[in-house]
Amino acid sequence: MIKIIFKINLFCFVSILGMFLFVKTSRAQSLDVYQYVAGGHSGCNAQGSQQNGGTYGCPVGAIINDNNAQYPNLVVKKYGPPRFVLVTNTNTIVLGGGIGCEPGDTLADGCNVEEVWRTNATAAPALERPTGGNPFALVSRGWVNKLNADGKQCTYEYVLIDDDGTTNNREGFYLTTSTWTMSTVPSNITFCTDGYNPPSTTNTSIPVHCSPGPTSTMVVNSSFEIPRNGNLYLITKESIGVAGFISCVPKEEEPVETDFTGFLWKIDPSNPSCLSNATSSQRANCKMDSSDLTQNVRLRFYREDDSVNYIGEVYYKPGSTPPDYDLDNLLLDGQKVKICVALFQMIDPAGGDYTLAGAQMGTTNISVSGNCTSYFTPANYGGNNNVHLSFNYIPASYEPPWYTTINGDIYSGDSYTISNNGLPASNGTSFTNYTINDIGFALGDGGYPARYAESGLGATNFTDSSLWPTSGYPPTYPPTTPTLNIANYNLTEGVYNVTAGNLQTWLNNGSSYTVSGPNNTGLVILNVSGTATITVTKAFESGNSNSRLIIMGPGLSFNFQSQTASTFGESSPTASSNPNFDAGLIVGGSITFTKASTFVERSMLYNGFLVTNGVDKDITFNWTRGPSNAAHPSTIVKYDPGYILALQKLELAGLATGLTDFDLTWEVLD
Amino acid sequence: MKTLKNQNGQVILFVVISMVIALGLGIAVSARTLSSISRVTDTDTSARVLAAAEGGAERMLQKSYSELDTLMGDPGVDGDGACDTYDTAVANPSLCVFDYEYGVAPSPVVKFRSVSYVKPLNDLFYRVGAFNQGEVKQLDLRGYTGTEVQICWTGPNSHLLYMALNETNSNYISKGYISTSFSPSPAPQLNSFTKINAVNDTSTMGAPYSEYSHCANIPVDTANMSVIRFRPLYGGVTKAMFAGVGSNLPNQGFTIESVGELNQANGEQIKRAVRVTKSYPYAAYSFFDYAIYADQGDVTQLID
Repeated sequence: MIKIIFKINLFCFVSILGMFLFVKTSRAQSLDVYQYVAGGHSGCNAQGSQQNGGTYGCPVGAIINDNNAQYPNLVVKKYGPPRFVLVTNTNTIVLGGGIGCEPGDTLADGCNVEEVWRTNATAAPALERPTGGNPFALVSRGWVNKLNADGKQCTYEYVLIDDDGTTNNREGFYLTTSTWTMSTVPSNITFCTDGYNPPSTTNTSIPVHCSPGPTSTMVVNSSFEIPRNGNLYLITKESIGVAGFISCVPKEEEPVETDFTGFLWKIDPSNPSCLSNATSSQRANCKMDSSDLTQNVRLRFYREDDSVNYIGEVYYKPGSTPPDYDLDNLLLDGQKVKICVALFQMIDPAGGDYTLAGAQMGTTNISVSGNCTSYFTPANYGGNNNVHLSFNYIPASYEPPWYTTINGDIYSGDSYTISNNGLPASNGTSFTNYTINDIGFALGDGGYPARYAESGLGATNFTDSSLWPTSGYPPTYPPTTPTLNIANYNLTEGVYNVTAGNLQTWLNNGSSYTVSGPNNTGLVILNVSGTATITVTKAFESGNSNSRLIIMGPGLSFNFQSQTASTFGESSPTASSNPNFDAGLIVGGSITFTKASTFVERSMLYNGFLVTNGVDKDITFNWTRGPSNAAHPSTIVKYDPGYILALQKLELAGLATGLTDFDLTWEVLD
Repeated sequence: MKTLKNQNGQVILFVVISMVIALGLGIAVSARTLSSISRVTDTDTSARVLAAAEGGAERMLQKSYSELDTLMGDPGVDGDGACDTYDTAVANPSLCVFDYEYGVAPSPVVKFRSVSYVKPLNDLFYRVGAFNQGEVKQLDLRGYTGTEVQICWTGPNSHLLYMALNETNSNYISKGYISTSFSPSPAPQLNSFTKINAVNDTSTMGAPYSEYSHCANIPVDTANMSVIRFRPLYGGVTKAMFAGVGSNLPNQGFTIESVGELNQANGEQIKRAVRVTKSYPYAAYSFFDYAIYADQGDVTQLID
């Protein structure tokens, strides 16, 4: 047994020694270079030599000096195994070593024409290598061994091995300006650590782990280390007869457990602290929380060599304490990693979406594409990597909202316009897709929507405001007019004075009102003093069909605002639905129906009438239902003609409203 | 002895004749002056009597609708209201009669009197004055049994819009558009809506229709409509008249007749009278006829 072990060890020793010698020896061999120089060259006309069956092209180290741009279209074709082409800024091309294939060899032979390089004397083709700027640039893309189906193998004339990731020791092989032979294999090469057992023969090709991979391009200046990224490389000898040529494959390293933590933060252009270039402390204040997302967000981690199967998965938990996502024990084996966001999990209440905008690992920016980051090298293999992902909010793209009236005329005077651009192409549920449902007139100066009325008339160049507001608006009431008791919602018919502040309080604290009185007019008029915008965020309804309220305030504006956390509005409104607000508004400011921070799938059903007076005092409908905009009008104004009759009743009862008139004729009888 | 001279008396005859002529002239001049004075006195008295009548009417106009209604009583019955006829008014002087004194004591004080009484405003033709853009004229239809009403008006560039309301039928609304020979530019659009073409030549219709430039009959969709309201589209209306079709219009308000009186010392009585009509009140501004009304602003919907 001991003898057997000894024999094996001896065999390995001899094999390794043989391989080492082979490398040494093969490095000393002359290298045939197969090349083709378009236009010919006196020093090495490769094609001529090839045709003559002699040497094939220029020898290794041949210098094709094109300083004088004699060959502006100089083309160097490489056959078979890779060549190094040293390009200087004077367009001097030096061919490096490499053998194994001859002209005419095919892929089946393990050879192929790999690249065509040019100087930059002409317009740069895709494969042109840098010829200016780098004083001493070496370019190599010698991936020839197509027979290796895994695509991981590569070949280098010069192989750097056992790089510890630093540049201090300059381990491994280097290219210099004067030496074009393979460097001495360092003594600290670790052989066969992957369990490789070198064969006893000396002509067996032994793969060498290397990096960067086949898709990389190494650009090495003199005395610069070939980038290695801290990989460990193994090298063994190549087969006999192959000089200066060593195949290598990326090393399958032992996976290490690496952790990822971080949080998601939203880019908010309205918040200076949450811009895309936010600092670490700033973006920590822009973290997504439960108000931004209704569901957890799924992050998946992919390894560079396997972009299909994710190697780790974690859920971002809104509202959790940092770290907001935490993925432990992600096994990496030296591969880069990328993070992808499964956006189907990211449905926010507003129906919008978030798109991945960027990623940062410490102060390092990681680019993103689509829903994924680019592959990046974890800063801390085997430890914690803190990666924060930033998102842009993309609002939902729903059908626009629209409004309608029921039997209600619309007027926009003095060169202003009636518009309703969100009208759907087809009828909604319970409402036709007209600005006026049922019968009505759309009148004014500046135009009206094409679908103005289900049945009715539209007219422009019409001013209906000649009387307004010069005649009796606002009416004045005697000092004896009672003041509204804002604790009372069961009112007696008549006119009351109230301040704007008390009106807001009254509306805030109540949900309905009733009007009664001996004359059964059912009408209360509130004469509001002061200037304010009254905000309505909850229903305020008439308690019965005979109670009506006119709010008259020359200093008032009104804002009806949908609320996400309430039931303000009707989810499926019809013409007979219970109104959400019952009143006739006659105000000097604007009237606006606005959405909350996000849409609510409820419609505002207003019963009464809306009147504004003043330059640019618009009536604006911006209440939106989001996904169900097309199905329902977002705001419905149901015209209530009962106010006309109630006003007459109130006046007939001797309660002056200031809003009525009478006709008078006078005749002297003879 | 004194001898008398035989003289013919021509001088005295001349004097007498001259005096007669002078007297005649004087009498003539005096008569003209007295006549003029009499006429001036009559006119001044008449004006004062008319002023008394107007004062009585003004006094009635100051009363509330409910007070007028009480004074009138049942519109169809005379004598049940305190001031529904002249006679009932005279019999209720505290409510219907008002005395005016002219002159300051101890000078002679002349007493004028006004007798005012209230009747329903339910003439065959109900006339109203001008109404322009932004104004509405309202006709009360409560109790009207006809299926149409007629409106005649003058307004060379006016079309009319109307809206009828039925209070007892869930505030049922009926709307319409009356077109005239005036051609606005651009013309109004109609969608599933039929306009009413007005008669633009009323000369053959006779009085009082011919006093107006346009007339049209308006269908009243259902019986027992409460009111119908008219507003001008484009140009204004200078005057208008409503009439029932096949049925008299219902009461539109109150007719106040006030008689001014002066009983002179010779027993002669001077009377002048005024007639004032006052309609029921109604929501005067046209914005009450709109669901959405922006006097100087857009009515718009923002694209979200």
